[in-house]
Amino acid sequence: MSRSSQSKPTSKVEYALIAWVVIIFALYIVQFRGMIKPILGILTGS
Amino acid sequence: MTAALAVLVLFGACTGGGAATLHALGLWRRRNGLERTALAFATGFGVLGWILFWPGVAAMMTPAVIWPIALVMALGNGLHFSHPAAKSGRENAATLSFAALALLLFAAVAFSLDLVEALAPPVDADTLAYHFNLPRRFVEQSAVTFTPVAFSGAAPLLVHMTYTAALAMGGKAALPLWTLVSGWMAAVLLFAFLRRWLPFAWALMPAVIFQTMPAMIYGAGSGQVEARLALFVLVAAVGLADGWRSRTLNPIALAALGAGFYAAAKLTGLLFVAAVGVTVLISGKDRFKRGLIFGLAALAAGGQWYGWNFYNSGDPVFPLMFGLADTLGLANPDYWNADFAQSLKAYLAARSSVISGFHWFFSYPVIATLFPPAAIESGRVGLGPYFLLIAPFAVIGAWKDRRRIFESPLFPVSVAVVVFYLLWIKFGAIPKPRHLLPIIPALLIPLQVAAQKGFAGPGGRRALVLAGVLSLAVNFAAQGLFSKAYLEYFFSGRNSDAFLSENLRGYPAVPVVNATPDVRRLYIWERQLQYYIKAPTFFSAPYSQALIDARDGRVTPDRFYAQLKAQKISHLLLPEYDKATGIEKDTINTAVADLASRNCLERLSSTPYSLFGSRTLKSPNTKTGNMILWRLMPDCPPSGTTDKKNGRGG
Repeated sequence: MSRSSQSKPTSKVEYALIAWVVIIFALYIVQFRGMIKPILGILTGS
Repeated sequence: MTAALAVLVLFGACTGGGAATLHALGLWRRRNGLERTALAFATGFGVLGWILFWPGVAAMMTPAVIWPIALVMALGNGLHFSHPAAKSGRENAATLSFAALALLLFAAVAFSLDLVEALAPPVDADTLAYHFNLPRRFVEQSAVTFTPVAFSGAAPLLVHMTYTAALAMGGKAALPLWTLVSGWMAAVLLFAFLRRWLPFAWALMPAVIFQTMPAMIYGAGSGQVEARLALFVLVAAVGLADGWRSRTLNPIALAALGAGFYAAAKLTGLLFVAAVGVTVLISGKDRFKRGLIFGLAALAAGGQWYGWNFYNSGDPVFPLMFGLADTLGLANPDYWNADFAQSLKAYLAARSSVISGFHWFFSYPVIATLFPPAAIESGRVGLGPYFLLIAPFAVIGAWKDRRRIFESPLFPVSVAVVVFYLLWIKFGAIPKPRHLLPIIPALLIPLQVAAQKGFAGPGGRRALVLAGVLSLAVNFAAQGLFSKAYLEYFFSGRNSDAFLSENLRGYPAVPVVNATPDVRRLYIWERQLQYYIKAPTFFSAPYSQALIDARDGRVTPDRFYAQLKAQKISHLLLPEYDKATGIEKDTINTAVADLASRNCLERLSSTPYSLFGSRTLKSPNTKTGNMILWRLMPDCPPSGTTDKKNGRGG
């Protein structure tokens, strides 16, 4: 989280880790698809 | 005002009592200010609960006794001034990075939302059924009384002793404030402990993620004990880390206190005692001496409730050792019997069958996080995705540092976590991820440190930051949804009855019961209503108590009536059951219908209520039902001696 952490080009390992994070997070979020309707209902007050 | 004062004094009692304990163990010096204050709170929280057990069982649980105990414990805070803290040698507030300030802002928002929750009437079902209801009964009776109900009555109640103190000192408003404060301190200690290895922002990120993960949002502000058990796990973790490869034995005693307090607060703490005990034995020479010190200290810290249960029922882990207690002639047949033991065994086997099979030892974290079966109640009250997201980082970091891994003080912490996890999967019975919450901080510490070590170079932390940001985003979305009802209550100025009617299933029947004269003891099915009902209640859990048999297929009207009379029940509050369309056989509902047809029960009132499943995500198509209040008639002719009337039952 320091400035220096953004200075070096991203390596293949880092690309792989970023892909891992994105894929696992997407899989995690998918399980809540059934909650979209109730959440929209709450947000719109209907 | 009294509530806030009570919570303030209790906080001081914990930090003071903990400071005195750490000082007595020779572990007070050479810690920075935040670590030793948070560690003192965690230790003192256990000490407070441990001390209050004694006036509780001696029937002296009165404010006149509890206030002096708390004030005397608070005197230990003098150690903060007489022994200056070590300097942390890291950043101060003036040099905090943007990331650190953003995380602090997130933490402040999360705390504010939790505060709003603490200012509303509690609505969590388990909390109202026993976490708050038991302390309420203890305060009313000025004594700890034995309740022969598995898991929620005859259970280790160390944390509940602190609830009892809050209630006795500050009234009902103090209880949610106390759970708010105690529910945050594990995150503070996690942050302080992580600071030994990590910079400010990197230590703060996992602490904020932990505090806002769904299971914490669900449980930390309520009476659920897991968020507070995390305090004891961290105490043990500090003891294990400080005692690793060390000749001094004092940290072993601290680890034993943490493990023992956990066991004194929940049965699964016995698994944690075993896990920490194994770790202590491998953590240095003098295994016999280490094992002896650990065993004695853990027994002293955690044994009291098992002794209390043994004294009252003949079974220290009521009712799980019924077979042995019965064989030795120690079991109380009124409280439990072989038939119920068999039913409970079958029930628990069914619950744990969700994860039967060897592969679950390895696949549980993945499946519980990404594809959770409904039975384990993950997802909305799960642990979030952070562990899985950073797992490869930690593996790479551990591999890079593999030559020094056994020297790390975090090695014994990792061993204890892994051993506990394996024992929990094998013996935990009901595999809900939120039951793992207590060990999550101890898991996060080595994970986060290993991940950091593996990506210490510049440019290597983008993915780690992404994992943190995504986890925080989903946690805060969940907290926003969870807090919506509390925010509406806080800003709308509505009264608590309206809030409870909307957010507590069956609550509309509560004012009806409270206005009914001569309710001496109420038999109840909706367990969450007990805290708000003035009269004593009896919750008829089918598989965890034997006083009134409520198991489906086992209930006969005459025996049911006799058991109600034996428990001095005067009224019953049950959801309406339509006998004409019902398909049940030999259940509470069919027994009530039969007793009503024979005029053994008088129907007093019917109160409509909403049958919502989730208070956070209510469906617009929620059905409604009726809650029926019955009066138990003084006499009931045996079945077959009266003409049965037709009509709807209970």
